[in-house]
Amino acid sequence: MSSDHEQLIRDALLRQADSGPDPAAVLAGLERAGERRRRRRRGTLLVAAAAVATTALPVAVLAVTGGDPAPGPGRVASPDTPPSEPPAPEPSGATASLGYGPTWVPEGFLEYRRAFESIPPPEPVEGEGPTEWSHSRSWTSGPVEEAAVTAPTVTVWVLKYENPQTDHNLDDLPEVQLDETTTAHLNEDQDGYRSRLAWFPAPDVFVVVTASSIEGSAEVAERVARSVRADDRVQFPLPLELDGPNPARSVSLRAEPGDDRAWSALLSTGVPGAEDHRAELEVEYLPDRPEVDQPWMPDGAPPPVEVPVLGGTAFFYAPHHPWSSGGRPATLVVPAVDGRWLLVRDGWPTEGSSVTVDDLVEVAEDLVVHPDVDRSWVGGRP
Amino acid sequence: MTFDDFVALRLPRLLRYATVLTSDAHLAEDVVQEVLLRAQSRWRRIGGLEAPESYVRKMITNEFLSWRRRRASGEVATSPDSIRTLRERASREHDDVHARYDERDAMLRRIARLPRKQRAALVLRYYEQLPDREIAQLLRCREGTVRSHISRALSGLRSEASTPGPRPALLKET
Repeated sequence: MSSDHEQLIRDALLRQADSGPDPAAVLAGLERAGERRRRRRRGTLLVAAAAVATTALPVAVLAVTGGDPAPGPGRVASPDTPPSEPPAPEPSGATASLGYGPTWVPEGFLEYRRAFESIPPPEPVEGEGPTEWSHSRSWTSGPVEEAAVTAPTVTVWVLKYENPQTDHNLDDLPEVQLDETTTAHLNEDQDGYRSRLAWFPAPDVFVVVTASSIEGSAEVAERVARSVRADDRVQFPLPLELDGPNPARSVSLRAEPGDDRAWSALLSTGVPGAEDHRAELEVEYLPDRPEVDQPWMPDGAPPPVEVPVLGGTAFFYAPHHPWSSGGRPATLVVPAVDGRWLLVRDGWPTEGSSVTVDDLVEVAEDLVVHPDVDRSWVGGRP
Repeated sequence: MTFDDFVALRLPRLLRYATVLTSDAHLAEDVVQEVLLRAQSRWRRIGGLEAPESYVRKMITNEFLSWRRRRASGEVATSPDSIRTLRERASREHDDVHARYDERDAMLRRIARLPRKQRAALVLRYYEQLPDREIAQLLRCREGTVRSHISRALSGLRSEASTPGPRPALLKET
């Protein structure tokens, strides 16, 4: 490696540093986050309460059903052709219906992830309405491990608000006309490798198409966006459920197309009694035993201790500097009967985190796992 | 030093570092904001350290290395909280549309495709100019592993630079 080449690397990195974001945006973000935290402390977990009240099903599944028929081919759901009156939340067992999806993604892109999230609505922040749910679907042409990081990836993310939104906050972004009546707004990275196209197909529905690690990402995002339409036939059979009083906040499944064993699922739920709404517990359902301790973790972490879970033996890793970046949150590792593993952990570890081994065991024992969940969508194309 | 003082004084440098590390100004913004939110809640402890900026930098590095799930940039495209930010970015980025393409841009694209640990090691050596010993401490690995990361990164950058034609990872549209 020549010194010229190394100098080029140094120069390139300095150039990259010069393209850093404006600190004002981060300052504003910190301010908003602080405000939300204050509001949420005063708020209540409305969705959680509603889910318990309306259904005996173990997971708060809000299905996007009852919308108008999907627009015809080539049509984009637009405010003039409202595809969805605010859909009435209804339980649909262990399947979430995904209300919008693309009919085109680039050649070679295979679906590898679906996610459904019911978002407890905090008191609305000024200019942002409370939300009901969101879902996302992702496709990649590269290895799933690098999807959304370095591998070419397309994601369609849909957010449903409780009420029509009047302050879209998108007006200053460059406009892209998707059809005669639908205008989207483009946010493109400087080098064109990542683009987000956002629009409101209905007054209370926000859609974002992201194309990342793709040359000409704006064109790809636009073509995907033009193909998006309301479609309540797309289902997401949920791999994990909670059979207890505390509902799931989100469930996702991520899989390597073509490898039937290489899939994992993630579920998040709240921490009963936690003052900070961000406090949550996470469950991962994994093909192999997870490595809890990472190389960058602070030294001196105590070894795991055995605890009984569901008549078997699990391993509890006590929190070790959980508040530090890279520290170890309270974690429970549970062998599952199918040779796979469950990992239950404090998903928002803080210095004052109150998550105990009993909290983790309770979630593990309330969990319903579907090892044979329908994953026929993995590796598929629209 | 209060948290607000720290942010006012150090934020620009932290953002530059995160931008180099992530190769993505948007992701850098997300990472730094995430880290500062956590640092804020523990500032009584962090602010009392001899070098709080070093500690926060370490948090940024680890945050980048362990970035996953909804934080992964493409999987949850944007949150409603960031809609405003999208608008704020628009005018800023417009000014850069006509930025000159040169060798450095090509190099940046190659660096952006390096595996994360290789990229982190590269940045810590060539941007932060840290010795391997400190890089190893930061990445919690042995010095030999650091040298291996950097050697592979340099090798990858060199071989890709000499490869003509389109990069295999790029999209081929039909």
